[in-house]
Amino acid sequence: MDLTSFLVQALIGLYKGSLYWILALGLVLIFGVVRVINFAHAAFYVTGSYLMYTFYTYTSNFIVSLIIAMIITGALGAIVEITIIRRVYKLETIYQLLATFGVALIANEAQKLIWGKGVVYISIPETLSRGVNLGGITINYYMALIVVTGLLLFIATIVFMNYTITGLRTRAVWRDPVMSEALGINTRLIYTLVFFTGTALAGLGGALTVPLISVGPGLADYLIVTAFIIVVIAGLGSITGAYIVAILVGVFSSILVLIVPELDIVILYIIAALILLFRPHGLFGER
Amino acid sequence: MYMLRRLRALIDGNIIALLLLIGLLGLISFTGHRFYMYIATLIMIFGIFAMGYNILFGYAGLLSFGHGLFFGVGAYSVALFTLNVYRDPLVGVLFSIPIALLTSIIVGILTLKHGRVYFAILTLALSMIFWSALIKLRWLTGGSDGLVGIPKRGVLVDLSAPTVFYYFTLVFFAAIMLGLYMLNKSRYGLLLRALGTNEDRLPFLGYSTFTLRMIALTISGVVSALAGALYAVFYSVVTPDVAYWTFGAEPLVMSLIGGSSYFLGPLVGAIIFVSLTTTVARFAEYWMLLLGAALIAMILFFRGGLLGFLESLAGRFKLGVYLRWRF
Amino acid sequence: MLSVENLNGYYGAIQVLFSINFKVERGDMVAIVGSNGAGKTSLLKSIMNIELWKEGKIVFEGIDITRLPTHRIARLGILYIPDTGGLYHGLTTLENMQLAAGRKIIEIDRIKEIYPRIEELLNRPTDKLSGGERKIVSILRSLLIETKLIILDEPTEGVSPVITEEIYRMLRRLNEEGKTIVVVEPGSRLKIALKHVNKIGVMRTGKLEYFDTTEKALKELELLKKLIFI
Repeated sequence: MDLTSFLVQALIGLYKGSLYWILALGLVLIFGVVRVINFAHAAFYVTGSYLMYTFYTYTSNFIVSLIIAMIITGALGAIVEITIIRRVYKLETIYQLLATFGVALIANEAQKLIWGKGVVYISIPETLSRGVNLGGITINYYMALIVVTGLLLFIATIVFMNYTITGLRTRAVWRDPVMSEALGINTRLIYTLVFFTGTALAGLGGALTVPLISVGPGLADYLIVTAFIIVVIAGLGSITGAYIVAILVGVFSSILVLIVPELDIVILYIIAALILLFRPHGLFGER
Repeated sequence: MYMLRRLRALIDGNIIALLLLIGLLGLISFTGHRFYMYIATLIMIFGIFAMGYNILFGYAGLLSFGHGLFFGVGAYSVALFTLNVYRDPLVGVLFSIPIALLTSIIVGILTLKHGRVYFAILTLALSMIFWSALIKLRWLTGGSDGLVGIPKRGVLVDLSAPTVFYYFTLVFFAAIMLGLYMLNKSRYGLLLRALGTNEDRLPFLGYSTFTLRMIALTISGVVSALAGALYAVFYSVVTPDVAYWTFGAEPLVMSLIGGSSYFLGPLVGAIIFVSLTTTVARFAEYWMLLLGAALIAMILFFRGGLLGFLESLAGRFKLGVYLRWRF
Repeated sequence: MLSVENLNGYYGAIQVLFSINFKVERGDMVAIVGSNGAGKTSLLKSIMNIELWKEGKIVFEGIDITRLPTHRIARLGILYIPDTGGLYHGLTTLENMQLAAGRKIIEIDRIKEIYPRIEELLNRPTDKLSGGERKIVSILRSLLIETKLIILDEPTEGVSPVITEEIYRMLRRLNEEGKTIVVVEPGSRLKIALKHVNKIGVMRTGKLEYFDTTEKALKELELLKKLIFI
């Protein structure tokens, strides 16, 4: 194993990690504010992928398709929140998990019905498909775009949460919904908005994924587990933690492919389990 | 007199229903009808799986998304043991017990200390580790093709005749069900239920939540593994699919359908679930869609499951509470 | 300003409030006294439409607020301060204040007028404040909201007598500036409450047994004490 391929894998890991981060961000936001673990989150992510595929095939306009996919996914998330999730807020955590699990089942099957059981993909827009050739593997601008998007989203989230009044209100709702209501904050509306934002972000991540990975049934099953592992290692609710861990997971898993091609995922999971054994609330968890 | 009183305390609607069901399952073998026996075998296997699952879910209030792990451990222990060590299905099935015990304890140490949300996520993650290991360790597990040729005919027993295998499963089914029934009736069953409802009080009563949860997980894991072991012998094949988390979520759905707070709820759920999957699913390709919708409907409107629904009906007609499992 | 008519309140199947009637006029400062479990907190929560289920009618400034969501009630100008103070622990005092103020700029001088020490507290997380400081900060928030009525659940619970006096002086001052105030207090605070309020009520096992002006109540002090302590 030479240094170049090592570096190339690390760079590839960076964009993979950024995609994981965009997936995890919505999950963290929804858990952080609404306190519901959204089992269907990856299903929304894949919905974004499929929508992107459909709109891009029809319009051939990358940006427009991206935005439409994002908004529709967010709207679906808001609908799910209003019709289902809202009714289980007062029930035990178990039922909240189960409700989102039911949503995930429905979404996965609906996707098979609409887009079939095969895989779909689109090609990277021409201007972005060029790039730098390193040791036989091309690192293209599209990958760079994803890394930048991830970073921008991270900065935007931190600024929003810490330096705007709406962000402050959002944090307040997370800490004490009842008191927030008593201060005149419409918590229901915030919950719906957070669900919209979280699932729209998932949709964005999914849409960005289609040009890189063929999307098909089963992808959501795999992604939700990865996303869960990231947010659990980071500590449930920690935004900065989720960003760092997502990038690390991306880079590590890419490099592991070089060292132990057979067991990359297994080793990653085992590392995760060991971290939790010693830091039950994650690396960046509050408690 | 004392014995008689103890005996009477043990008898209630549940045990009568259970014995009737075992009798009925026994009768099905006399019809000699292959398809009925096929469905009945699956009902027994998934009944064991769901009842085992519900010890954690319905009793201890712990939601596991990773029970495919235990089922898979059972199935793969039988397969590996009978193919590589000693060619006998009975010994193989029994061999899965200590393996499952060990697995449960490791899983417990990794997952039980962090609260319920973490438990759900961590069991899911662990089952995925196991699943990907099954796929990647091709030299041992056969990768995604799995292991084939698990023998029904062994050194000690020969289960190759359908009726014989049917009785073999029935014996395990009956023994496990009666065992779980005794567990229910015991003081320990009561403690386990307290774990699900009043876990904060338990430490004051002198019981460690962790130990109780660990015991619940171990029983649940071993019972689930036995279901997996029977499943592997039944089909003579085992693939990594059984360890996948969507497979592991099936007993959860069964428990919910039947009613997770009732002793027999998971079994009722298994009967409904297996009957539907083996008949309707052949015609409706996308029946998982309906399953998801049914799941949400149950959570929003009938959290008691079918038995809860029947009980509320019975209550309306003053038929008493024969269904309710009483302590 | 606020009228409660025939209010019955329930937690699930358990009734905790029994046909409660009273009126608060603009500029009043009212104390409702009762022992633990008399239903004082439930009464305040039912005004804010938090948690419990209720029958009856609650009118605030001519608007029926019985079934309004809590945040709408709050926006009409009622500030509810629970016994915990309702501060967001983990957030700083300033952030807590900003949450009350919304997009408005906080006029710190005005707060200083009432509580000069505020500046030392601004950048500390509220869980690091003393019990008394928390209570004071939670009340100071009312200066930042366009609130007409402040309802407080045991604002002096677990606080030293000196700070209790200070809190009542603050409430008095807010009252003189035109805010209507309703506090609920345990029996042990009867004396100090009578010193400051102009109307007093007594709750007992979910019923409002007494409600009248302080003037009149002082003449019937024995009856009051009997209602509260026996």
